[in-house]
Amino acid sequence: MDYDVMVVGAGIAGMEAAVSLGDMGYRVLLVEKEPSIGGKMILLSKVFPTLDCASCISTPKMAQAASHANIDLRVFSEVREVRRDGAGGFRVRVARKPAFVDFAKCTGCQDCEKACTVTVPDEYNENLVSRRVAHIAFPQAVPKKAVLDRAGTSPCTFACPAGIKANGYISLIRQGEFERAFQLVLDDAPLVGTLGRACYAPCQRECTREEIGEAPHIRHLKRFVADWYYERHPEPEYGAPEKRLDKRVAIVGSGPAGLSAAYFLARRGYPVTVFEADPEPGGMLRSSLPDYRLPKEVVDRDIRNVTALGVEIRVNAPVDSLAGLREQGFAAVLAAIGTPKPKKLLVPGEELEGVVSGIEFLAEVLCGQKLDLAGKRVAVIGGGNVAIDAARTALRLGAAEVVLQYRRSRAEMPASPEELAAAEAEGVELSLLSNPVAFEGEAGRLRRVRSVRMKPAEAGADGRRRTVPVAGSEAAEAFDLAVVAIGLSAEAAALRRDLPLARDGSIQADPCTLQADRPWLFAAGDAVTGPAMIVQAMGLGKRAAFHMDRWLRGEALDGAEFEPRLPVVDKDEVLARQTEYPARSVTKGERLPQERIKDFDEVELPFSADEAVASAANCLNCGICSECRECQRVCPADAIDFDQRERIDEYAVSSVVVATGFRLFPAELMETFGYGKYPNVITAMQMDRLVAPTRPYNYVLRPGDGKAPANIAYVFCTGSRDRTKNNPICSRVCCMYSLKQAQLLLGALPVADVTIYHIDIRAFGKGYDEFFEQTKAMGVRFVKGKVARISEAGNGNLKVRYEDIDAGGAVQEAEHDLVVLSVGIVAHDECRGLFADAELQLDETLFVAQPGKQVDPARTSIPGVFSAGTATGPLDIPDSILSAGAAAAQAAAYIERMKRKP
Amino acid sequence: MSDNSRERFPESVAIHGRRRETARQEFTARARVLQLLAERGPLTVPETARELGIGEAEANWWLMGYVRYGRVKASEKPDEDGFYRYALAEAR
Repeated sequence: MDYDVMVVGAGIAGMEAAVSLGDMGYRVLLVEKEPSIGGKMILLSKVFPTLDCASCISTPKMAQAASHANIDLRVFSEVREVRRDGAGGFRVRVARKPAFVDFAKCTGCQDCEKACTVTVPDEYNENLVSRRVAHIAFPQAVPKKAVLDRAGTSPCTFACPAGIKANGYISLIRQGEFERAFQLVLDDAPLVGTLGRACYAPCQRECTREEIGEAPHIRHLKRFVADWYYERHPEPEYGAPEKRLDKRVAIVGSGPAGLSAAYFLARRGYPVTVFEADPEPGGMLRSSLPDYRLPKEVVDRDIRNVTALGVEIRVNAPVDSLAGLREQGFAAVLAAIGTPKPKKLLVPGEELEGVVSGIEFLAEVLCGQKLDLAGKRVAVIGGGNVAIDAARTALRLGAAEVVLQYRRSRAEMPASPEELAAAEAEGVELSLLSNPVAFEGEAGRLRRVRSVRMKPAEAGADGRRRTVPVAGSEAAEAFDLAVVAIGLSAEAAALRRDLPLARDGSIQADPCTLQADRPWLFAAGDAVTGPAMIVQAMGLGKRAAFHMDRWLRGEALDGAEFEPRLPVVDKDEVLARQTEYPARSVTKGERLPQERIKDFDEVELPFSADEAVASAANCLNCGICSECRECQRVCPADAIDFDQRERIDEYAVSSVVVATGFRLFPAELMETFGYGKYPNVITAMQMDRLVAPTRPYNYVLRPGDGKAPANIAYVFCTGSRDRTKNNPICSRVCCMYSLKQAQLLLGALPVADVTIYHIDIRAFGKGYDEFFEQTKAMGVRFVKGKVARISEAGNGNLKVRYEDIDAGGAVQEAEHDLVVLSVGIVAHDECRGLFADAELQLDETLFVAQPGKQVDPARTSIPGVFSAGTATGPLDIPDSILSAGAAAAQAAAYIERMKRKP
Repeated sequence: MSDNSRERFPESVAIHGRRRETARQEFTARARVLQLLAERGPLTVPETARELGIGEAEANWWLMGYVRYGRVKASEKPDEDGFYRYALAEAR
């Protein structure tokens, strides 16, 4: 056996049972699902009737349980299954939930908590105030270790091929930390300004808020932080890393993939040289993205994020042999040569003057050649983003008419819907299901485009619906310029001897490691995937850098996990967390179409800081933790570990003690009491927090408006002794904890009036009745009568309507400025599902049944399983501790019987 | 009657959701609240709510959060109406 006993739940009963058994010499496994032991008792103000400090009593027991030589404590862990082993013992499976904090390193300093950028209601303060997602449960937590709440990876972050933490930078923007937001993006991608403008933003498409409206403008927020940062930092603030490695790396191509790889390799200390065939670096960013989408000064500044690390970019430096680079002393080579080669239509007349490829057309414009299309008719052939860019560029060059001709339907256009909409708004006409069959010219110059109508046909081998010509539909139309933008491919012919190429001309590399057929050779970007998004190329560059680094350090590439992520959060789950998500409408500004086609200035208008914050505020924090990584940045012990995952441990134990505690009756089920509707109607557990030494507010205040209450009412038996609420039992503790609170309130608020509405007072234990009498003597007013309804009176005060039994049952109404509902206790029955092959019987109120309670306490329906504390029913603290002692004795006896078994 | 405690005594998504929403907005509201306190503080919860056009319960929730993390401090005594006043804490 690994342990003599497993105790499930480390509240006061669980701790007591564990310590008792440990003291007897038994090996105990104590499992607690919360990050701290102590249960509900540690959160109480004082205990009745002695008014001893609950913390003062609990903390020594907590310390004892945590440091006992015979107790192994597993906090933030859940028992997943208990199965009988056939010999009287059990096999148990215990899940260690990921805290994302290395407890061995965490010093409990709370720096992570202070830096955390996401707030959620603090369950340890009964949801009266916020806590941070990175948090230590409460000040006396044992162990005093931080944990992070993570529901998974937010859909926006999960969708990003470059691993940019969209939820994270949005979270930082929300609190005005624009520079940190920029740095967070920069950690994952060097071309921040470029992505902020020209990314097709898969994050946006996956945003949960898109389903309910007012989604944050994710890409535009990235642009905002880039602009904000670049305006204040014209040059990067960092230089080359101090640690320089001796293995040199060559990268061929300075497009997004090459620059991204260079950046990550240089950050690791490698001397990196980038070879670029063109006169300036940037690849497609510079040669084919029009300025109205991506100003070239933004590209320049982005590239300086790379060169600041010491990366050398050699321009006008075409490479015709990768092996030659190796011979020059580069230890590894990355081919990131992009797809600069335009595909041809292969129809008659394509060689005519006036027929150009989209990429050549855009490059000519971008390199400053003056093209005047004033009054001209332009046909752009293709349905992708290059075609859209060419069409919008032609408009800006003065074309009288631009027709975008595409052989399929609008729904099948690969272009970004936003770009297509912008083109149409600017006046680009669409000619769908139309395909050129010839370019007709005169004297070597284009005059007409002859086209055929197309019609949908069945899907091809790639699953994409084909189109076929409509017989007899050919017609010619006059055009001055035809721009063919039907696709791009890699121009790798010159490197064919070094690179394995696929039939379509793309480079063949391992899809995971991006290693080519030679170990020193890697490939990334469009040259591998075909034309793709900028962010995709950057992601591949980053991935290639990760694996190149491993290879250069002599580590195996197989099995190395690149950027592990938690599973994506279920959007329905996010939307179910709240019944409504209020939002502020924030519109992304654009120049008017008729204005913007007159020049190449940017179309999108930047956000102001206020607009950025407002847009960011609409984020739903799908992952709960935003992954802003502020905790990681500030942790002095380097204890934050985002790669932690749940771990299942299996143990053999001889017996089990169930001490899983209770729940409080949800006060909102008493519909006429207005809990959840009126902020100054609270529960007694909330009041216990308000009067506790570690209270959420500095003083006893009502939550509705922060006023110190002067006239407080208690409503007893809220949700207990009430058949209409399916809870007929008396909770045993409500009367006494309320009397305790009344006494504490009279200490904290000496001039306050306290009124208790009750059916009767159940003060049955030792010293309890004296405590009741003492409370009366202190001036607390007791009204015998059942409360029927609570309503708001104005100024946050509350009208309590009650039956006054001592006044002959008359219905009365009284006004109070705070009402406390003394809620009952209900069962915490999740423990029942733990037992795989035996039924843990519950009683009719769903507490753990004790079949022989009168003579054989703590025994349950399963031999070897015992129950302690309020898992068995409502108990006060002394009785919980007594029941824990009984469970410990029963477990000890069982263990001894097992030992004596032959 | 359900034999499951969570089903027999369900907690309200609406109530928890409203709290989540208030908490979610805490950082967004922070700059406005802190600026107000810097310019016009110390203020009570109702005064803060009135100035910003927000609910008093939200104002209280957020101010308590800012107090908790050291951005705002409360007066030592309430005024005659029972309200404490809140001001910016000294720079951290």
